[in-house]
Amino acid sequence: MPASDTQGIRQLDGDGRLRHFLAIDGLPRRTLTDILDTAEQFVTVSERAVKKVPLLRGKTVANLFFEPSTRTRTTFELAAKRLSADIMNLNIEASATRKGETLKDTLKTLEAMHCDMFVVRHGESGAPAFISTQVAPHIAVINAGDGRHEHPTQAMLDMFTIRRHKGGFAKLKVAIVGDLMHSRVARSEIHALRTLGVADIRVIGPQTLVPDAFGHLGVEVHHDIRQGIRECDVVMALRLQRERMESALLPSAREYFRGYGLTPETLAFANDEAIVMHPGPINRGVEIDSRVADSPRSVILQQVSHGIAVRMAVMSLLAGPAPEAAGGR
Amino acid sequence: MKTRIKGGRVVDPASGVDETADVYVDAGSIQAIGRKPRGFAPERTIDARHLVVLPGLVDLSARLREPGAEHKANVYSELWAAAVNGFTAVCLPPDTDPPIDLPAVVELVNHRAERVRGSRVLCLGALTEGLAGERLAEMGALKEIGCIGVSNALRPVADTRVLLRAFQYASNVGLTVHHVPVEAFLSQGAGVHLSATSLRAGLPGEPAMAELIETHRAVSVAREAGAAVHLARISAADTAALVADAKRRNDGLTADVAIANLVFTETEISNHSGQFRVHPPLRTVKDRHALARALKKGTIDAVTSDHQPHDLDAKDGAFMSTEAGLSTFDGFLPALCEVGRRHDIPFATLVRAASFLPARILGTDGGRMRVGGPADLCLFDPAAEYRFDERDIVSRGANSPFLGRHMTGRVVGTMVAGDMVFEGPGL
Repeated sequence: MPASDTQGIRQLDGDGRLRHFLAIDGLPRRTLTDILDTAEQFVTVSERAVKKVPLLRGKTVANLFFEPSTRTRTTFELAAKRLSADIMNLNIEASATRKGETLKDTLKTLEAMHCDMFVVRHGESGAPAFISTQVAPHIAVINAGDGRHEHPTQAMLDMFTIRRHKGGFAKLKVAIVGDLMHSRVARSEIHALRTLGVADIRVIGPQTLVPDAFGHLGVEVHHDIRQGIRECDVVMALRLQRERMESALLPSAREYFRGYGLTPETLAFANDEAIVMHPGPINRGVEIDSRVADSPRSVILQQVSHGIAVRMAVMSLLAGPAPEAAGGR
Repeated sequence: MKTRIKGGRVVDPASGVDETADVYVDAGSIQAIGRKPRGFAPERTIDARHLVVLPGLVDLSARLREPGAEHKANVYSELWAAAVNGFTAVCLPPDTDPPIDLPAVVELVNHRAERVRGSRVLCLGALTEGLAGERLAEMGALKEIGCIGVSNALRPVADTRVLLRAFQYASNVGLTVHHVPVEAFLSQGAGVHLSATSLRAGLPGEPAMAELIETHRAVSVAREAGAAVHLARISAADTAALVADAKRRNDGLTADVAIANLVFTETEISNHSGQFRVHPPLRTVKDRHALARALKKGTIDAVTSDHQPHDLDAKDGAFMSTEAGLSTFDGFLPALCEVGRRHDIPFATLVRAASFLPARILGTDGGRMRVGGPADLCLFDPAAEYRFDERDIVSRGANSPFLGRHMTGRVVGTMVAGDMVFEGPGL
């Protein structure tokens, strides 16, 4: 690809419609609110007895998961099924790449199976974008998480959850606590919050996991949770992986919990009405105290259920006709 | 063949000459510049009016991919590509496969090079056996077979005791060490410059500070060992400042910069394009500016292409699964001229940095136009305007960073040892 022609992958077509959903960074506010509004309609669908709409009938969605994941894959699968699409699950990490097949060749084999949409999770930043340049033009690619870069559908379901509880985004104070350095979820959250109008975002964690350079993304960096969480309306905890202790980034999970765990005592510094979020799966006693995880302030389980509606919204905006047709066909 | 190069603007930074003059060549050397030698009857006259006549370019680092990676390129293809782009001598780093830690590998390269009508090749021997950073390579034997220096290429020597002993031994043998300032641990797993850009893109970065501390270590060890060290490819403003200071205290310290770090910055990787993955990484606008200023002042002595041709597959994929390196023979001189225009660096300084000073660092007789010296010349059309595309690529490498770029200037002819090895349509 000639260097001077790569302006980055275009997620929107000439008419401003979504072609791929790869990253929040670069999408206009309008697109994000369209997703949220569309998701509202699909929440209703999930609450009905017959949970299907025919929007994607006759289309095939392929789940390409190069990294293991049960919950994200299952929600995408459910979302596709509720839109009446056919689903193909390809556990790539189990087969082809182990045999040394390149990404490009794996895609060529899949193209032969005539899919309309790929949902891709990959360990490398930029891989879903690369995939979108390799597939036929009518195929839509959804990023289900790439390396440390973005996890855009997670951010959208979190925005949906926030909007449901707080009404809007202006004037909100939001804190993201944890290993931002290695988190694709965090980057997507920050881009989404800023695009939707949240001006006051704090990122909180030890310097090894939350370097000051994060300030360049338009957030305030804090290494003291009690300072950072002050008056927040939304507190998001990120998952801490065991490997971080091995790489001299943290001494122990115990220390992390002492300094940055969400406990009733730390939460007292936040707003009384603050909601607590976590992309899951949670590590009790590491990122979050059970008393908080199981309290009414925690909306963690709602995040999970919103995930299906939001993913349905993204898929329908990419492949199907406008949602007004939802009941008619 | 008795050749007269007529009417060109002769620019020879070594002697300070910059004037329109004829150049007379015979028996592989320059017979005269300016006035025709008595009785000289040219068998061939090359019309160089509207052209610049330069000493042939000398490249401090170019991968020919042979032995070991012949699917990417080979000695034949790349020495030809070098010549087409004005290079009359290129220096091969020792990280071939097998590495140049045995005289036999040098013989292999020389044997292949003999059959090419193209640029000359000079070899750097390994500093340590297998480039593993543990045992010393047989630098005496390598010198004897013709290596003009030693290096550990991109493989760090983590153990400072080994580094010190290797530098002492190289100095003993009389070879300059070409040291690439890669810090052994901070660079592990990194692919780009650590900054807000890498953070946003979610790509693992190495801080500029890594190059700084490794440069400091190398310069201190060199001073202790009394060794002549050449810093191979510095890429950061802070490193340039350190080199300026260290030159006051280290005898014979020299440094080079890769053309890519003078032309491009880290913004090229913000969309995860593996086309721009390279060691050292592309850094910030501030770094680029500091490097250009350092070149202008002479803190940085030379510019190298750091040519690393790759096959298509190597650059095809998500960023971290691509291989590092840019293919930079093609378009080198016009790109260097662009750097000169942008940063107000005189043409003669640029030419000096790409011919005379590299030759001096390598200890060879190239890079200048001396009566009696080798007739290694580059004929350059400074006025050609074009958009660089696939037709301008001669190297086997599919990874040119210049594709699509507007260029001014083009090499139209190259002479090696009196032989016009390349003549373009413009001649």
